[in-house]
Amino acid sequence: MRVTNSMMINNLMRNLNKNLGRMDHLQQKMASGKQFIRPSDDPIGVSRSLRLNTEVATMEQYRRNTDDTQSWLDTTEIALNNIASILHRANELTVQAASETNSIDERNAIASEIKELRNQLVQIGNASYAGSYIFSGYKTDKALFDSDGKYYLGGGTTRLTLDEVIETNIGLKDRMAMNLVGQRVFGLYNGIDVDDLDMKTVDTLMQRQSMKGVYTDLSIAENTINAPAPGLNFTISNGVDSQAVNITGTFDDLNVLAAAIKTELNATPFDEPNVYITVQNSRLVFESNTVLTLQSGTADPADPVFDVSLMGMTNNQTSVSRVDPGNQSQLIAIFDQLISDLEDDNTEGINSGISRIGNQASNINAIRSEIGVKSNRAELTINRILDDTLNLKGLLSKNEDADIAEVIMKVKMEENVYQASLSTGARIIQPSLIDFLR
Amino acid sequence: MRTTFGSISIATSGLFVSQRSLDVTSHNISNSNTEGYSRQIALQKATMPSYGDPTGVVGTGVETYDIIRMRSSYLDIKYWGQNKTYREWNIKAEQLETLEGVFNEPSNTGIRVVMDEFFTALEELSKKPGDATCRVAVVEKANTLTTTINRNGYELINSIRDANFAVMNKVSEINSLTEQIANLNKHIFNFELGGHKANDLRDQRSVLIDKLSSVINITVAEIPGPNGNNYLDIKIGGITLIDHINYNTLTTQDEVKPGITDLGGGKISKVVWAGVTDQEVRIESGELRGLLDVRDGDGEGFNYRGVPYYLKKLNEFARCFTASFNEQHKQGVDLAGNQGQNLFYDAGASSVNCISFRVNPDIVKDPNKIAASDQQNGESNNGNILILIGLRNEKEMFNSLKGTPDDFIKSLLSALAVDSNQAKRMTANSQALVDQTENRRLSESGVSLDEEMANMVKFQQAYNASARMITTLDGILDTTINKLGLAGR
Repeated sequence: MRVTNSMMINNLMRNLNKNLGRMDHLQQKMASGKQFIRPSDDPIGVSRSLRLNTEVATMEQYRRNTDDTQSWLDTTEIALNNIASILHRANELTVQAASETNSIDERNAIASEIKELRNQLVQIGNASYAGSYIFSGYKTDKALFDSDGKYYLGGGTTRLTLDEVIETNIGLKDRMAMNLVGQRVFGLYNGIDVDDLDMKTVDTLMQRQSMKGVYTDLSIAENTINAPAPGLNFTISNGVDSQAVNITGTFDDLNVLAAAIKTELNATPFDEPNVYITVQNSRLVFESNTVLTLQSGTADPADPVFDVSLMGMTNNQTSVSRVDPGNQSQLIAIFDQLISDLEDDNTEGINSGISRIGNQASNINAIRSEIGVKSNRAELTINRILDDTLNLKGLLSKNEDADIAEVIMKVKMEENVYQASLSTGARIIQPSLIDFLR
Repeated sequence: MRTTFGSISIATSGLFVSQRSLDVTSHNISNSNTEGYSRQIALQKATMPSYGDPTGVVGTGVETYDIIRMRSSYLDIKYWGQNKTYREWNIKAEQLETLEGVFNEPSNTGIRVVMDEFFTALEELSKKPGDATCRVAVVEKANTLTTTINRNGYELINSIRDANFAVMNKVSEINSLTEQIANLNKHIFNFELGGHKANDLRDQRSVLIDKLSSVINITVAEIPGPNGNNYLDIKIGGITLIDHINYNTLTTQDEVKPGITDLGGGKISKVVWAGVTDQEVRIESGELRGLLDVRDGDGEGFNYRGVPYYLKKLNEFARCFTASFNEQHKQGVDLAGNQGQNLFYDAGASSVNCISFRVNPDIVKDPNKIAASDQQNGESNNGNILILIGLRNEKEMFNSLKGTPDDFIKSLLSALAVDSNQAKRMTANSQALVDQTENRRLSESGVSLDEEMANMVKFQQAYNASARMITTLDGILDTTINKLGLAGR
């Protein structure tokens, strides 16, 4: 092949250019610390990097969410602890007061301390975290109680229902409740049946409500509900008509069961909109604008799922889980009753006060352990998220960070090659025959 | 019988030929850096000998009978064929790299980040739906998301505009080159009527054809004409661009293109033959093809994925994102207990595109209108926000692709990355071919200074020798004329 000057210069320039291009690319890697600068440098790497970055951002958000949930739970726990110690102190005082040897003055003195404790309870009910009332469900801007210890919630027709649970995302399709709805702690008292004060909060919540309707507690651990023959039997009645329902089969969850019952109850007066069957807080809820009665049929005693018999509701003071402004709190009503019993020197009443306070204490303890479990879960979640984040960041770094040592080595190599090319070029191009002709 | 002065004429022819060759060498050296110059060689041969001499055939000297250029038309045709491909991919690689700059990923300002931030703001709002700060943050982040998409949309439209402008430029470049080539054809033809090749003019023409081959696909042929003179014929897609001294021109015809013109991209120029109605030019490669692909490629069927493809994708993103979010947002209730409105502005009939994508002005004005709750039962009901956040994992949001919004953006970027990567690789590959051919052309036609210097010495020596010959002959004639016949004087 004939070699000409312009050919040599062209080749030299081209090769020098390629050298420089490679060096430029390496310099960019060095300067940015990244394997790639543009998507076309590594299409797959860039797309993976985008995904990992998003996942890291999401994880960080989940961590913030879990942190906030934890703080809510901590505040709730402190409030519950305070209630527990109030109940403890109230128990001590009541036991002391129950003794027949106490004079009316002594009982009055105890009554005034109990009054203080009662007022503290009201204050705790209005506890807040970062400006939000923690026991008011979704109505975080409204106090739970008025100064009198009655449910307040902004007044008017606002109801507080048990399903007002503020949830946050702590993982993909994984949510956690931040708050505890007030009536689970403070209960509901209709102000009429003093005997109701002897009941557990959970029970009064089940019975003493302002909406018409009934529910059955099927909050079960298992995911699948099994109703083998003879299955689930009950009769629904509105005082005029009644219908027997028999359900057998396997149901994935309460919603499926509710749908099956709806299918059974598809005729007037038990179809929609006369009767609504919904699932609220893992409870099957029957709601109607008339009085409903559910009468248990024969449940299969061998099957624990249906061991909880359906509760018949016989008056129109029935519903699930709602408190209205102006309703009384059972917990506070117990204290009020105790105060009046003390002041009335009613020893029998004081004695029943002891067991009532015991009931409440066990309710609070149950809720405390529930919050404790949640708190635990939040902590575990944070640990998991931190692990995941670390993992993801590791992957991200592996995917997009340049190996600086390797890059420096390559830069050095390219520098050598470049210098070699330059000096070779200088040697090849400069001299020609002209230099040697005389 | 030899003539007395014959030898002088032989030596003189040697002088002339050496001088002529030195002229050519000098011309070569002078043009060693001229673009497209082919080295020339003076061809010499012995002149017609004189017959009839009984002593045998005696030579009569030397003559230069032609000056040719060293050029391989095979390599030229090969170069023109390869160059168009190289130029097409080169321009695509450039344009796609610009697009990569538009989307600016991976970075801390791209769509990925603003989308992350939008959902982060929603998450924060889900924890405090009643909080005004959180609501304003959601509006702000939604705004950042929409303006980022808008900005990307504008940039895409601008690059369509730029590409269209470049197309018009390229068309005028073709016309200018065409005119120059046809003009040269005339000169070359006139010149070559004398029977000799117009070397330097042909070189100039080759340079122009080189340039033309960068812009558009051409087939070049020399058709034998009368008197042994060739006509140059250049065709584009089978239609004659240049036929000897006659030529056609190209022109552009502006057309309104829906989806581009109405978004502010201006009219799109179609490349047509001038003087014929609606006769589109078949552009198969070259820079013009690259520009057209980038400007018009919508990715449908076998079409190239050019800017309109990405524009279409961004439009779909804006439209479907708006539709999904609005549909869900309208199912919630706002802080005042009213049914939710559109979260993103939608003038109806899914008219949203990447330019008109924006947050509902009513919500910007009053962030309390964000419908965070699923029913009116307290400020902290975050039921609807949680579902809105869940839309990020909604795989049925888009028509053309099953995947989440993140997947959608990722797939858009992946397409761009792969295409840009391919364009770069194709550029490098085709460039290697062009370089190789160019190298071979230079090897064949380039001026080697060493060679020219050697030739210079060679011809100088030959000249010197011829001159010495004349001196010698002069001595002989001196002897003959002045010294002879003096015997006995």
